Amino acid sequence: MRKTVPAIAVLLLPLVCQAAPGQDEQWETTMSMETEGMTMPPMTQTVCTPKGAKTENRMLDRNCRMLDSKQSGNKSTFRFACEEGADKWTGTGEMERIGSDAYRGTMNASGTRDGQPFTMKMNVSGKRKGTCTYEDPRRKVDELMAQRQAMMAKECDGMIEQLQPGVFFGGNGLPDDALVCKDRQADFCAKVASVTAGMRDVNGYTAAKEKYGDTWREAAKACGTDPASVTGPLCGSAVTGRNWQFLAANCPDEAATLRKENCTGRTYTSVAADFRELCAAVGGLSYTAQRPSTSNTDTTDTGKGLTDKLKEGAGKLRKFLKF
Amino acid sequence: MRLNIGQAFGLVRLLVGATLVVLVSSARAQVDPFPEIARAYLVELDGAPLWARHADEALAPASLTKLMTALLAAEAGAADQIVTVDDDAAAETGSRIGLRAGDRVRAGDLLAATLIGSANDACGALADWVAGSRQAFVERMNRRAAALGLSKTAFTNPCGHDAPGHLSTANDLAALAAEAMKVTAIASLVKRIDGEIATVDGTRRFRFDNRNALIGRYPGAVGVKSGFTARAGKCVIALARRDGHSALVVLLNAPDRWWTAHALLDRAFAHAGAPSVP
Repeated sequence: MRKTVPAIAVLLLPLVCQAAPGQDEQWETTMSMETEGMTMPPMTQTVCTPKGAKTENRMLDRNCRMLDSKQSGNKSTFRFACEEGADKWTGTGEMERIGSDAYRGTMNASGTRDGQPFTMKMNVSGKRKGTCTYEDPRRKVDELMAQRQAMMAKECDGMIEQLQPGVFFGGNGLPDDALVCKDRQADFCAKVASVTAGMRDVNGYTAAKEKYGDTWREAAKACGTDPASVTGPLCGSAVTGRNWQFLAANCPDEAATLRKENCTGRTYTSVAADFRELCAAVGGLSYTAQRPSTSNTDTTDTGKGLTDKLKEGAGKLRKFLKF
Repeated sequence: MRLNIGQAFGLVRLLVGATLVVLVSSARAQVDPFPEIARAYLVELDGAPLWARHADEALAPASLTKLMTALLAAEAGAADQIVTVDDDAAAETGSRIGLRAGDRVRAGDLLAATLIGSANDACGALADWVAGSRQAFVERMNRRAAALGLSKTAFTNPCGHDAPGHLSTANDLAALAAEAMKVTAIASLVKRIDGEIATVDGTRRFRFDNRNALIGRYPGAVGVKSGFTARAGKCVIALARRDGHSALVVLLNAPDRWWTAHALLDRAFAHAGAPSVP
């Protein structure tokens, strides 16, 4: 079974110190740890702590809280509890100040880490090295979080601009944790409403389709708008206005109906002139209407024109009927 | 052998030139968005190739051949000269208007029947009149083809009957059509919906529709020729002009040649207004 070494369990390691002048305290700390029969070699690093911070507080991770502490002379004892996700652990510590510029102490902790039980003993010591400027790690985290949120907001703005519904509503196999813009659904749908409102005439529709392709359909559906409510009136207008190119490109149902009524089974020359453009547009290069053989051929080949075939057939009949 | 600098430079230029030729050739041949529409096709917009398939494959050209016959006849001039239809021309089969041996018809009228009605009897009569014999006319056809740089074209008869060695390509036919359309007499005939001619004595009249179904049906269609034989299948060279642009479609063995040509012309004109290749 894997044994977890909770290396950062209880020690507060305030920001690794910047070697810069300031009002706060720069300490060199050394820590050694023993857990589950394993001993970690001593680690030394320079850290910066707020001016006047309690020594024992310096030893605690930010996931930990002090339950109580007692002071007796230059020694103090304390109890603490820590929590990080599902992991919890508690412990006790003892600290001895050596003058105003040094300390040493021990801590014992037990609990779970990564779901595994652990016990641990730590020896710590510290020596003041000078001054520094303390930076609150929580503030740093908050700044990073703010940066991340700003970045995500920008990403979400981009997805709104592109009408990409996935990160707002999921679907297409996206896991739930990919819904990073879930809280912007209202903004997304406002954009969708704005775009679809502009698609109520052919020019607006064509421009939007050129910009968004068919993504707008998914976006509209995600926001509860039936794409047919946008295309329906346009397709109706395309039929009455005989805008066959628009119809062929955007209205498959209407195009199929008109094709069946006016194109299928007719030759290029026999189709009504009014519908020739329609048939070419909706049939295009895949037009495969079943129809009689063309009557307007320009047969070059020897003796096999219509007249020749009739003559040939008549000859055969004559021979057969002997007239 | 050692090359001097001049020779080396010349060799490099030769290699670069050859590479460019290969690149240009493959660029011309590779854009084939419609592989199912015909055995071979070519679409040009304003003289520049847009899309093509097997455009250099030598295939039977059927009545598209008549463009060369018409070109030679028109270049022979004297449209008012009277031609007496001989036995061979009168015996032509396939598309015909019904000329008889001994009919006297003006050369310009035979040209109209050849181009508009795709009439083999008129075509044969023209060829016989221009060169004196079919064989001599075919030799002229092949010389003219060579002069035009139609390197994969060979004619064995003036009207397009299927025959071994009677072959052309979509690229060559496009070039032939471009040359033919420079001749006013031809350009003015191939855009007509129909035609009517008569013998010189006026006793027999012949009426015919343009076999190119796009004329009068496709907006802007101005030519040029259709053709069909068992071996060639349905063929057409279609030329249309619209909004200052000119689109040419050559289809060889295209089962739905009219619909296909119509749609390809539409797409070519749409391309003219589009910013990029689809």
